[in-house]
Amino acid sequence: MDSTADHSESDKITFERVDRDILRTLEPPGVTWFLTVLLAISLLLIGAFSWRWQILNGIGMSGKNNPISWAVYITDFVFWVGIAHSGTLISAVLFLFRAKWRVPIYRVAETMTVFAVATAGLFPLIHLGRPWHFYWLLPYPNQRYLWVNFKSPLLWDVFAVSTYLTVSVLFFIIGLIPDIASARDRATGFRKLLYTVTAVGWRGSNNQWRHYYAAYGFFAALATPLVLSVHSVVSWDFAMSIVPGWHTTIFPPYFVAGAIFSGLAMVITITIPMRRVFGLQAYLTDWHYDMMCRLILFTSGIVSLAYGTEFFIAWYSGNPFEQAQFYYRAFGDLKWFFWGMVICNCILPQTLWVRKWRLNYTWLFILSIFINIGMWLERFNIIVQSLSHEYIPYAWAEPYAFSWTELGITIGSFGWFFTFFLVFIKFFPSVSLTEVKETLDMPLRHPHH
Amino acid sequence: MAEKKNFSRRDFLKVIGAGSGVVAAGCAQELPEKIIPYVVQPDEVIPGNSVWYAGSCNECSSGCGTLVRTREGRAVKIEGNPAHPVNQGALCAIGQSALQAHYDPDRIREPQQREPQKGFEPAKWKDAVGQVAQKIAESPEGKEIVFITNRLSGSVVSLLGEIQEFSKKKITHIEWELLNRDALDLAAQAVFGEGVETHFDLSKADVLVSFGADFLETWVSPVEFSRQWASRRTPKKDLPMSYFAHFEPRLSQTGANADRYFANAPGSEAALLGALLKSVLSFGAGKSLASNERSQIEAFVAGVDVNNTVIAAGLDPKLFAALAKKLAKAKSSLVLAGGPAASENSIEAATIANLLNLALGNVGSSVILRKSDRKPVNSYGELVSLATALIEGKRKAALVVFAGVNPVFALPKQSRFQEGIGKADFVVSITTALDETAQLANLLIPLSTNLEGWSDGEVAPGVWNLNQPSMQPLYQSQSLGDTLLAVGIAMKMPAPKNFQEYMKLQWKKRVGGENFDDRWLSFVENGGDLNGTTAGSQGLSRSLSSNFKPEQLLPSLQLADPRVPKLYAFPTVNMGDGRGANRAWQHEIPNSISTSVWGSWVEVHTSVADKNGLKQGDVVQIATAQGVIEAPVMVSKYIHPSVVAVPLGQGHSSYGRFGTGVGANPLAVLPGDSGAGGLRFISPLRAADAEGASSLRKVLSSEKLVTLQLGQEQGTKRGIMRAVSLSTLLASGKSHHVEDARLAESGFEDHGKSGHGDSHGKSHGSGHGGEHGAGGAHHHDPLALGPQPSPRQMYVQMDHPIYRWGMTVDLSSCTGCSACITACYAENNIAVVGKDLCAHGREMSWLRIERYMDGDENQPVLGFLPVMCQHCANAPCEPVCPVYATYHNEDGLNTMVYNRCVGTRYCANNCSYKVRRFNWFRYWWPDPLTWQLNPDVTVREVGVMEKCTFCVQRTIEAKSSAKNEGRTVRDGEVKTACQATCPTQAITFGNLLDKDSAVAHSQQDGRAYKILDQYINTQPSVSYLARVKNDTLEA
Repeated sequence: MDSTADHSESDKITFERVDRDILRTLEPPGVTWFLTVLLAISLLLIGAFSWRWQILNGIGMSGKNNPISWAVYITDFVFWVGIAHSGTLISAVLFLFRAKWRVPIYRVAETMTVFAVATAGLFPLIHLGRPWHFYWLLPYPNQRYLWVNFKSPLLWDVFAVSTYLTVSVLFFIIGLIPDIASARDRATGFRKLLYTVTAVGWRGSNNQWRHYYAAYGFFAALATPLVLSVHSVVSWDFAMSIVPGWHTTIFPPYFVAGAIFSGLAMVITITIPMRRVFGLQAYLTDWHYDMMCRLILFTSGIVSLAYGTEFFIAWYSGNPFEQAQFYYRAFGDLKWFFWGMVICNCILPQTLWVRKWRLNYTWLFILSIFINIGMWLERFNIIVQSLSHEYIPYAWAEPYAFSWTELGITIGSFGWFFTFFLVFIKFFPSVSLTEVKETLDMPLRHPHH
Repeated sequence: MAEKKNFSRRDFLKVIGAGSGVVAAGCAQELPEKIIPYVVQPDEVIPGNSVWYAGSCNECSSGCGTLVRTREGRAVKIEGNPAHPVNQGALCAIGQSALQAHYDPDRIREPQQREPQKGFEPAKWKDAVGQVAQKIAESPEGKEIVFITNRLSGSVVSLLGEIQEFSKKKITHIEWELLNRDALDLAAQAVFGEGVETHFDLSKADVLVSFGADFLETWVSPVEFSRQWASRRTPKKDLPMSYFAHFEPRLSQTGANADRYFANAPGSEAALLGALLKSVLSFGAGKSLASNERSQIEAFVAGVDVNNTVIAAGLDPKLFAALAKKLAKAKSSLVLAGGPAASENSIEAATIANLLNLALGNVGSSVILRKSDRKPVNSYGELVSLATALIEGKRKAALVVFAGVNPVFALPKQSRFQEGIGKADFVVSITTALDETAQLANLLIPLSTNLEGWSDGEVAPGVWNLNQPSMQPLYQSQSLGDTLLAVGIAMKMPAPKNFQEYMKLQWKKRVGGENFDDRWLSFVENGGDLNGTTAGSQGLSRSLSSNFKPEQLLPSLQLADPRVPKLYAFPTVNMGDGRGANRAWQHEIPNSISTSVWGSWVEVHTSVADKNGLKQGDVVQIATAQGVIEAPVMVSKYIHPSVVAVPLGQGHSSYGRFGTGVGANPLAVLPGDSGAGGLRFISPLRAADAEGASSLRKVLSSEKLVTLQLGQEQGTKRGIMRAVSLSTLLASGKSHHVEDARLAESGFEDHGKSGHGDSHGKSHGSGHGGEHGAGGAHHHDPLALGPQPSPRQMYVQMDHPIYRWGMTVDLSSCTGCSACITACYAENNIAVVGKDLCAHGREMSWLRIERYMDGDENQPVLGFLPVMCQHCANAPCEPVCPVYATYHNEDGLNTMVYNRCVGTRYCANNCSYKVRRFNWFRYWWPDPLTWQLNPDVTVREVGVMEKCTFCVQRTIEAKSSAKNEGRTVRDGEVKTACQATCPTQAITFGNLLDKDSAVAHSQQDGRAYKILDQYINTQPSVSYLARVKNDTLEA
């Protein structure tokens, strides 16, 4: 099926138009862009000052306490790792499955992935009691003969996240090369220099294209298992422990589905304003959103099933601690966090059964934000609610008290992410020129009708 | 930047020299610490080795013996003296925290003189003492000199007598304690005649009934009584388990340990005792009484209407009758009455209790009569009449000297004590702190603690404490003896040069001069002349005194209207009589009933709370006719509905940084009118006033109620705290150490019985669970008691070649007294974090006492459960640490390497027992509390995890001394801090691999269980022995 079928002939997208439309997004930015970046940097500074405050005074500046040793930072970590997921899914998995609808969105999704992993990677450091010793988590040879504990899921995290970051960055850069070359051919001044360097000598020769496709396919194949592994490993941080509410075998698929769910929601959150601002409606069409919505609906179903399974198993296992934990989740001190999650992740996405809603961009934008909130709440519920209500009733926790420091750092993480993202989309094409062109008719020297 | 210049070696040395000079000078200002290198090293001081000094505890009048551990000249820990007959090695929480009183940053450091307009100004020691001498010498005819001190004993009493004699002035000496034994002594005199005092041996009682006497907390001699009580709390081959019933308007810690707790109406104690006396006589008790005694007693209770009294007191007459019957039929028993709960009729209650003990034949066994040359007085009445007389001008005081007491804080405002003292010409306070009483003084003289000065005293017939200083005084302070001696010397009284010499002369007089110097040395070394026992009866008549006048008691048998709402000020183990209030430990360690920290609370019955629209945590104003106090509400089902109860000891207006302004002082609003019958700790609440304002009025306040225990009940399946009824235990036939005993808790069947394979009586501690896990796949009852076979282990278990340290806690013995927690704070340099961080769940305690309210109606508290790191063999915390900061060592300890910890806190998440504590901030100790820090234990850095180490510094010390001697550590050679101080010896510690060790043996007990182990296979090294509850009342 032709992806541009619902566009009239006069809107016919040509190679030339693609270059024009997409590279236009790299033109010197206006006031709006600067204001947005300024806002993002302000948020980033809030985060930076909060972190400095926390390092000076101690991790106690966050709201954590004795039973609740992990809270907002680990929630943020899992949240950002989850966001990072859809990028590779869209770029690699859907590439291998030849799902055409990925084409205009995969660059945004991949960009999101890279910066989201970079954001997520900060949180384990932020969360350390002694962040100045963070490098002790790395296995490096030292004269003290100190080694790391490969039994600890936290160490697996270190490897999983750093591998994911490395592979997704490489995959991302490879996909960018032909596009940068296109930009280079039109750029002047500083940008010319930038693109010349980053295009690494791309000339578009057949030989280069052959290598390019081989590399792209290879990295897609390499990245695909990572989609499953990273969030599985992250879920093992919980599943490998014996905390009631964490110790469950369904976590890996449940987390991966949730990650895709939240990642797609984030793609929608980002692309809806972007397509409007950049005038990319011709490329990011109803069809693309329709397909994304279907995937969201599907993953929402998996996530909802997982929630139900957790409750069922708690009941079916006869384990009094699990039962108490899940009763607490739904009816305890933080029950509104739970029900908020259910509303955002299970109930609201059901609107997507209706095509009219799927194509209502206002609703989609709102829904995607709700899903993002819902997925943040999901991680918060898993982490904080489980820790609040473990085996020993003496050590149950009061309802979690958020601190300004951790809210500041959470806000700062959005600032950090969007600062990079906004700068990126002004310097590099946020829709893949190459792949969009692949979906078009070849430009013929003598077009015939 | 300045031009580059050659920086010569000489310049460098100059700078270094100047710099360190400045640093040194800066340090030298604060403390008069003499830094002298050991050129000639004293014999006993080896840097790095502890030196122990025997002494005695001065925190209450029970007179426990202590051993003070010093390192490099500083006292770092107080332990009980195992050779002392009163405490036998144990200490209570207040006794442990005496260290913090010693290093109190707010102690008075030098004599101070009140200057007009300026407040206190430093004075010279000599001038201060000279002034006191001068005031005594110049006291005119018609004015008296008043000494108000704590209960004194020994040489200091005779010194005071000598001063009086020498000065030829009228010196009045009032000995006063807030929590005193006046009523007990007056009652002993009334029933047994003059010169007799009563003491008790709780270990002799098969049935123990207490009316308000909080003998496990503060009453008379709590450490001694706790030990005696606990010795009977499990059935033994030759001794039945005791039955203990406790009457108190609110559920106290003592009440929580009873087999049956009765919430009687306040003020009904004497009437109930009368009813009990009548009932036991009707059930046939009193056969041993002489006939005239019997008729006298029968006549006394003739008018008592048992049924109506019991109903009016809010109790069930059937149960009461059952109790009376049990008491009457018991071979031996004991009835106690006293404590603040019984203070409305304290003397009467104690007197009738004496009659009961007489009728039950307990005198001579559980009731010990001792000779006493102390005249029983109502010391509170003396203070009140002094104050009244001073105000009215009937008496005049040239000088009032306070020493070691704080009556301005502790006496009701209505007693007008403060006003009365204001009439005195000159007031001196010999004190450690600038407390409320010291604020009245014209002159402050710093008082040494028992760690700095000499003192002695007779604590029981033939038992003499001798306390030597353990370290140099921190400040310009002297002991009370030395201070008085200095006053005497200033008066030109002939006296030896210091109090030590004076004491020596006194002791020589008492014990005889033969070979005295050697014997004196051994007395000093041993902490006194400890050969006597507390139990010694001295052939005193056990019959009713001929002077006994029962008529005086008759009014107390009539119950006043029990529905009058009242305020009850109760004592706690944390604060004692209020002296605990400037000890940060005592605030931070939760009260074991309320689990509340840092501040007061008011216990309100559920129905009263509902009626007044009060919720847990609401701050209320509590009004009596004498005034109002404010405290946050704690709603309780286990309190008589006509009482609201507030703990005493807090609410100081002047004390120190930890005590001032924290909590409320209920003592201030108690009735203080005449003082007859002693201080009443119970006051009627003010009736609703004209505006209808209730006596419990909710007010807006930022005061918070901070409780550390969140889940009050554990439910039926968790099995964290377990209790077993005596009948179940006896029916199982496995009431003590039986190989492979397995016992089902009542209500749970022991499913595993058939499948376990019976050769598995081995300890879990063998560390080779896989070997004998043949039945491991069987379905266990996770709540079965008794040693359980190890399940088949999937992984190779850690090998423990010589030691696997383990612990057993007998929950039948644990009273929740919190001494272990205080000892743990003292031993392990645990930081105190304050109220806000406690409210946030960031307390640092390595050891906590959980109390669950899952008991039955007889006894709401299921028990007290001390929880520390369980040192699991399959520790969930270990594999999750990414940097090996926590790991299992070959001694079976789950160790923490603080320096390696990066603070991921994953271990704390994965710890099922929630015993790990994280340093959320960098905590600090105000000087000189830093001096108390144990040099053998690291002070932890911000961002690292910590937890109980089983006092690893002690096991290491024991191991290395054993190694030096070419042997292994003997059983009992190493004691953890919590174990050493436990008054009831509930904790056993040792090597589980040694099959003959006490701990290995106790883990085989039929009551043994490990928390959660049957659910999650953590294989803890800590076993608990289920609490036995005596349910034989209704039988």
